[in-house]
Amino acid sequence: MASTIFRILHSHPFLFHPTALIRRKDVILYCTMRSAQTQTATQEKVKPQVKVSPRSTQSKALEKASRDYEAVIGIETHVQLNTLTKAFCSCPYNYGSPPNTSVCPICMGLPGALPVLNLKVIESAVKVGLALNCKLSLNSKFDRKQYFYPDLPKGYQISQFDIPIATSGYIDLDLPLEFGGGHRKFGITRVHMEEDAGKLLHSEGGTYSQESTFLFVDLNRAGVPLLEIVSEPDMRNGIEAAEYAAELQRLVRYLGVSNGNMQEGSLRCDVNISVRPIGQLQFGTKVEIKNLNSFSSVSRAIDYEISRQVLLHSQGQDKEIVQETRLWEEGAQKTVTMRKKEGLADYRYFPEPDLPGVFLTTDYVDGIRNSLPELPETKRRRYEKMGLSMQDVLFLANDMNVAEFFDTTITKGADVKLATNWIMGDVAAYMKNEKLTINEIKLTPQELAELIASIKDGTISGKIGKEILFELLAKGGTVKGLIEAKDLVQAIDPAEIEKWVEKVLSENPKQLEQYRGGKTKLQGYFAGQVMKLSKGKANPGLLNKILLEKLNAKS
Amino acid sequence: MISTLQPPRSLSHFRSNPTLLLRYTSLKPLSSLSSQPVTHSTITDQSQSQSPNPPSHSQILSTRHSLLSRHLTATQLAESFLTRLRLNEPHLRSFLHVSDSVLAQARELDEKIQRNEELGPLAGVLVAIKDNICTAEMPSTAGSRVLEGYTPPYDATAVRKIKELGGIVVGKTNLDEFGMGSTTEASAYQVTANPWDISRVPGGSSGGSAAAVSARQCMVSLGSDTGGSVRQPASFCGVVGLKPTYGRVSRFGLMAYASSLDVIGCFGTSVADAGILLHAISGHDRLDATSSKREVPDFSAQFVSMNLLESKPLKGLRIGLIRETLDDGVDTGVTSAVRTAALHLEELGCCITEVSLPSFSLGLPAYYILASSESSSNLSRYDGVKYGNQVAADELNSQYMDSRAKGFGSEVKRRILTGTYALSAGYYDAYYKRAQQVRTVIQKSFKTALDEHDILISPAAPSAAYKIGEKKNDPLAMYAGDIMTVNVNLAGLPALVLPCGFVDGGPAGLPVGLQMIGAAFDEGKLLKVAHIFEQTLQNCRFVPPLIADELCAIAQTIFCMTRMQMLQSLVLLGKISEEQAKTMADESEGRDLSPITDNLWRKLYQKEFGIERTNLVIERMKKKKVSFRWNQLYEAKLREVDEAENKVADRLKSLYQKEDARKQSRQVRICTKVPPSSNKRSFGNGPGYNVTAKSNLMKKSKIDFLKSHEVRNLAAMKKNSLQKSYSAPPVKRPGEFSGKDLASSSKQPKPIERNLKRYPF
Repeated sequence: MASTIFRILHSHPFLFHPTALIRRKDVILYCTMRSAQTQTATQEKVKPQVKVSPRSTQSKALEKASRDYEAVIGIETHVQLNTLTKAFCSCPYNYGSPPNTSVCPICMGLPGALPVLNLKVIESAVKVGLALNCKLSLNSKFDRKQYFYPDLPKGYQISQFDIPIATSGYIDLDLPLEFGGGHRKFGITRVHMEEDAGKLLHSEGGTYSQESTFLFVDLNRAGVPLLEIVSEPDMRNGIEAAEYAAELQRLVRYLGVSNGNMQEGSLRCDVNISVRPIGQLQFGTKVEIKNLNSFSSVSRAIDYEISRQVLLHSQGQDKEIVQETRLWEEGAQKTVTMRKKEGLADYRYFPEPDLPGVFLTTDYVDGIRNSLPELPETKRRRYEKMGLSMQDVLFLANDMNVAEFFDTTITKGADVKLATNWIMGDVAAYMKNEKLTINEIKLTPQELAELIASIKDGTISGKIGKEILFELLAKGGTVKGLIEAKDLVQAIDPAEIEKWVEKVLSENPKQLEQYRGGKTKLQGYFAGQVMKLSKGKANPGLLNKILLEKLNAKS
Repeated sequence: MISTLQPPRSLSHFRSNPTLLLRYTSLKPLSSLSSQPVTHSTITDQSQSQSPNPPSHSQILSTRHSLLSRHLTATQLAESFLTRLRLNEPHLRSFLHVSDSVLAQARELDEKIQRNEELGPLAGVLVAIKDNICTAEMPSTAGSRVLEGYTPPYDATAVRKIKELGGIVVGKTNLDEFGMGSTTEASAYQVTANPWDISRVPGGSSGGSAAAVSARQCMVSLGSDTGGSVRQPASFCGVVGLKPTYGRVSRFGLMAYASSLDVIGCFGTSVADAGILLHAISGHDRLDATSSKREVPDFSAQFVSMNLLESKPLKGLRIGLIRETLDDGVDTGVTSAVRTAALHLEELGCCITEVSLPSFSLGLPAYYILASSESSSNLSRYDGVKYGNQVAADELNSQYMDSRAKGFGSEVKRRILTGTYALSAGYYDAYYKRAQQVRTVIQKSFKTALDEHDILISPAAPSAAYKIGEKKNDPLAMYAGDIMTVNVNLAGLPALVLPCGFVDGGPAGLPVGLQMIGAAFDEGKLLKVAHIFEQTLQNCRFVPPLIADELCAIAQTIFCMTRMQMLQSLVLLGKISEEQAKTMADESEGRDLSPITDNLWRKLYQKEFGIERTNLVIERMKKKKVSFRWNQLYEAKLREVDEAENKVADRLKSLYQKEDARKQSRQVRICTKVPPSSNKRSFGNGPGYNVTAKSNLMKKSKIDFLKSHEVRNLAAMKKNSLQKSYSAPPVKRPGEFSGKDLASSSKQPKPIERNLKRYPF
């Protein structure tokens, strides 16, 4: 039997970090924690990978069966708020800091410590509530949710129970074209505020003792504010669920209340799925899936779970679907049972006596409402009205910074379609190659607009425009400055072009002869030579016109 | 026998040099510890020369005065308190931890004074802190095994404020585990005794804080009040206990029992001290979201000097006496003390009316549901994972279960289980929610009553201090004792308890507390009324018979020794060191021992002549409104018995001269009536009385011969001891001295013997 020992601190809570002291009877072990993996602010995007392929023998039967069943999916999302300090104390929270370095008596649940609410949490919750079109509770309160677990320092979680801060809202989203496109509206049941728990770190088995496994408790995350967003069971497949999560991520990033990073756990989705025969009103037995840390795993886990349940239904084994929590295993691409008998836990909720009620005034709410940024849905609809294609709209509105870049470029007078093309094309490619965000590139919207204008009015050619763009992306500067410095202004003086043409013709008598002999394809060669001579500055239209004149004149 | 047992006033001639300062202090300056004559007089000596019952004075103010006027150093003050603390501690056991830096802090303060630096308002004030209030440099266990050896990394806000204002924390006082209890017996570490009678409980849960202040082990102390935990022990120990309005004092650093009811409260020997301490710790704290932002008024403005008081200083004040608190189930002694107090208030000009709070009796069940529910949640954090005691186990659940099973005491477990049950799905509405509704009703009824009255009064507890162990196995009886106080917590109102009288019991009577309840944040009015009440109260002195006094009193009573003789015999017997003897002498020097000695004589009387006889005498005295010293009564009675015996013996002698006189006489004596004439000189002689008295007498004359022999021996010893100087041991049978004889005559010496053996020196 493995013995489990928990210990983070003993009497002198501030003495031991960054090492966690583990004590087991007479054995004292000090263990330096490896610092967490370097964090990457990656941006998740649903990979166009759908449907886990069920085993081939079953696949046909399943495909047939799935037409007779529908899945009902609801999602509970935990959004970690990026407030400067934790929900109820003044500790900062930074993902990846060494264990137990961001803790104080309050978030460690020391005797006598009391929570004091960080008002930013309310502000964030109201923002999200408004953005999700919710009804706000002007008088809400905090409650205690009680259970024992080593990562829960107080033995209860401060949460909201019967009066959440926001209820009955909805979220709009557009499915990507590769998944068939289309607009969806999913209901939001409630949004409430709560605090996060710490983290348990399991020791590598058997390093210190063959019989013992150690659990380390890291309380850095304890007390970090969360918003729990509960959806209505409105989704029907993995893609919809993943897109719902992606839209939430977009929303909280737009609102600036969270970084929405799934790998860091700033956005966590627990999915509830049940399957029922089409036409049946009653829901099937609900199964919860946890450990989903990317949108693609949301989508794939749901599709796997749907096929699992459909298969059981179609084989008449629907009794084997029990209310349970299942874990998504990324390696095996399947869900496995984590714990059964859900729903029996009695959390003994009661009003948190250490915190006064949360009272919002309409002035306060209106103030926040007026300060909300343009939200993704509004943005998409506006772009759509600008005449952009849905693909463009989705791309631009996906990232708030990109959208802002785009909007600024437009306000500087750039052509909408051209700006879209530049951003979605070369700019996006550059960002991808260099792994930069749009805020990190040296190009400013002002210069992009300038560049587009320069091309449009013929000051520079599109080719030169591209050169300048890469220069701007990498080193910055202004379009005008670069054109002047490199003498890139397009030559539109016919006399000058004529000179270049004549020079080329005189230098290539052989080719000229061949051309005149009927090999008219050589026109391109001459054009290229002239362009080279002009260092690309020659206006292609004029050049061709003059070249043709010259080539044909002396024949 | 010598008729007077007044303590020798050997120091009274030094009274010619009193200082104004020392009028107000009951402290013995350090210099008195040396063998040379003391130049300061004590409060007892001093004030007795002016009035027999001096009102209580602020120890905080007198400390400040003596420090500023350089009459005493902070070190002297601290040392005198520490000495007394150490002396009393073996009997009282009120401290779980005594700070080892008190003297260092005092010396630091003295240096400051020397440098003429500014002093905080609490400079040099010795404060004891209840052990469920966090202190950074001292263990804070809340009286629980689960936190054994735990030292918090921070000071509670109240403690921080006290320290910032110059107060010196003496130590951490005992309590019922996590404040759950009304007797301090539920501490996982020790049982604290009541300084008025060490066989009794000091009340609880802040019993240690109350006992420490009462026994002058510190000047003031902090307690916590969830359902009366400051007020009830204040009543039991005869000190002032102040429970402020919920939110007046920050709870940050108070280990939560029931968060919506908990408040930190103050103990002092005077209303002024309690008020000054409250002012020091009050105010908004950004670390406690439930602390009020209201401004804290200067409470000291309420303490009008006695000399400035008019004849009716409280004229027009409307006081409501809560009818439900004087119902059945309340001791008659308590009721009459409170009614007397009400009369006193009336004399001061108040308008007293009875007021009914019909919801009063609902408070107790509602309180126990709410408090248990909240505590079941608040105590979840003590799981052994992060701090405190952990029991290693094979898997997670057993680790939780074992750590908590071993860490918590039975009362705590009872309340956690009750609370868990009340909050469970399906029971929440029936219990917790309903209790919350009751709470609202109670709040409203208090509001109504306080709209019509300035303050409400009631007893602080249905009885005076009861015996240790009396209610230990009957939790419901103990819970019922909280009836007077819990409603105030449910309503969140301020309340002040101050001693207002005595009931019989213990060596010198037991104090009774009067509870005054005010409107929210109206502590100022409570303090004003209580201060005037305290300053005008006659014939009561609420200084408990300290242990040293008791020893002296017993010695004086039984052996007619002076306290010096007694102490020296203790030294000779090797029970105490010479130094201790000196300290003890100083400790009890100048104290009026007459109440204790008188009480002892009464007990002796009762033992010798029976309780019926004693009660009869008491009744007679009451009826005739006279009082006699019990030792006089005892002697008279003894003579009477002697005479009666002699007469009977003479008669028998003449009748049965030739027979075996001794056997016969005893046999007959038992069944022979004493002639009425022999009673003539005794008190309360009357026709109806004679019969019972005589039959009683005959019953009592069964006292075995040894006893009466012993008593005569005592008389002989007394004569001897008077002839000898007190350098010689007055006791002829040193081997039998060590409490054995004492034990037969009174219950008191038993603990003394125990404690002497345990003496930590």
